[in-house]
Amino acid sequence: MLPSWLLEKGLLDGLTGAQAGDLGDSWLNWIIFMIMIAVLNIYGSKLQVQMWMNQIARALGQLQQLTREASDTFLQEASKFGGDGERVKKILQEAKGFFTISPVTLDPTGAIRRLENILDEAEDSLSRFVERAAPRADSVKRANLRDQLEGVIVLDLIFRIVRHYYLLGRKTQNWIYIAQVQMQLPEIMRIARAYWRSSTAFQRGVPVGDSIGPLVALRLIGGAPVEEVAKNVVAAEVELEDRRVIVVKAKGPGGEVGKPGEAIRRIVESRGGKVAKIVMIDAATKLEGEPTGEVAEGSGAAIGDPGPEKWKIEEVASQYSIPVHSIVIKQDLLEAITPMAQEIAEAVDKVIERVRRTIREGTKPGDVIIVAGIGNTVGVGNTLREAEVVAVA
Amino acid sequence: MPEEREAKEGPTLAATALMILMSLGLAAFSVIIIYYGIRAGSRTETPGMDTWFQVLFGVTGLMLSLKMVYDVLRMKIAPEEEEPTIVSRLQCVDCGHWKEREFREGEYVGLKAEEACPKCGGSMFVAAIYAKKPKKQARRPLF
Repeated sequence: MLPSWLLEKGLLDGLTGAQAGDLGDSWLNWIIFMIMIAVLNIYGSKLQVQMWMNQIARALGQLQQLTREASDTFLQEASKFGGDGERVKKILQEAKGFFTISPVTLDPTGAIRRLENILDEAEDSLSRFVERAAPRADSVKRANLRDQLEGVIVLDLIFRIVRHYYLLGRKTQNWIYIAQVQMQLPEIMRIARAYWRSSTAFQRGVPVGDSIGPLVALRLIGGAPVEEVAKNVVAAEVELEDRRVIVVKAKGPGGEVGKPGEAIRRIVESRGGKVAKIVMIDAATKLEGEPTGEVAEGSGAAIGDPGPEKWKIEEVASQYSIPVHSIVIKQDLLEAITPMAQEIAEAVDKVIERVRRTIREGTKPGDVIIVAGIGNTVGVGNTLREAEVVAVA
Repeated sequence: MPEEREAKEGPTLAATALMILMSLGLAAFSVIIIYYGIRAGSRTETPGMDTWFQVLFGVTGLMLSLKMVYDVLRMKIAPEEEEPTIVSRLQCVDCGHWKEREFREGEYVGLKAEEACPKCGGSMFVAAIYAKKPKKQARRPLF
């Protein structure tokens, strides 16, 4: 079975214990055993940390690549709209590392208003970067480019944070720094890939998973005329189930989310609080194991903003005792910011059925009801009027 | 483009060959250890600790090598992650008939489509735009 010269020279005697058949005489076994114990005791943790650092280094390479590709996509797109290559590159470098500072919450009074002010300024600043980078872009393209730029900024930030902990861990030889990054790497990479993929969606102006709210709103609006009721938010009045339904959505088809909270507040206040119900439709993060496109409902304002818009809805609803009902469409983070999956698009009819039922329940014919389709309206228009569609829902 | 970059991911040919060679070497070594462990144990009426250790190490080594080969093959022949196709669903305003076709740049939901309804000749509009997954995923070639 084995080459005879190995046995003849007795090279395997120590290993096999062939002469004695006893562990105590098998000197090579003992040596290997002792070396393994010594190595694992002394260098085990160092070897483990080194393996983790190698994994993080590989992930850093991938993160850098993803950031570079998303940046290139933005540069190419901006250059099509009057931006000079070098100039756009310089603007992108300036925009990278853009940050917002949260307001002081030690004194919570007015924190929401202060936060809104900061968020408005952040959005305006990014819009100004885009205006400089692509001066000939129209408002729709500009909104899409701004969303693309936000993706690049997030990717760049992820890369910088991971690199920070990697270098800090290497410098201080503190395995806690390394371990916490390594353990979060799968989630970090998943988020990074989601943002990287989103750049293609915004570049082409294709609806993303988060656009499901505006898509349902558009189906409800049908061919009804719309008007801008707040910054980048449109509304239309339609009749549904013998009720007067005011449908609200962000102004499309550019990548806008608008200020739906402000719009709802204005509508409610303009009617002296005579609104029977507020129904909100939005995308919601699904738990692992839940199917994409699953529809669920509950009470409360379904809106994923940092706070101000949700706060306005809750404030006005509680002021006039208006029930707030929400219908959500489940999806994961990747699906929410990448081109809309077929399962999500096909959930529209189910959502409309639920909206109809929700409208009927607890209200009377002739009541005014607000239905808000929340989310990024990239690739979703405002009305089907051009297509002469009277009612699709 | 994203698709091109992702397709290149996975172990290189040299890395695959090295991993397979290493696992084959480990498997051979494990078989030798098991063989000699059993041989040494068969000489006595009651097998000693040496025999048990050698068989245990051998079996562990064999399982490790099988796992290495499995991991390498799984990485190499795992189905390629194909990019979904972006399609536009066009719906007829008059008869409600719908059809899917590839998304065209500049289109958005609610836009009046250029084509007429193939069923009644009425005008169509873009009712939805979504990513359609490919039906069957192709396996990567091993080498």
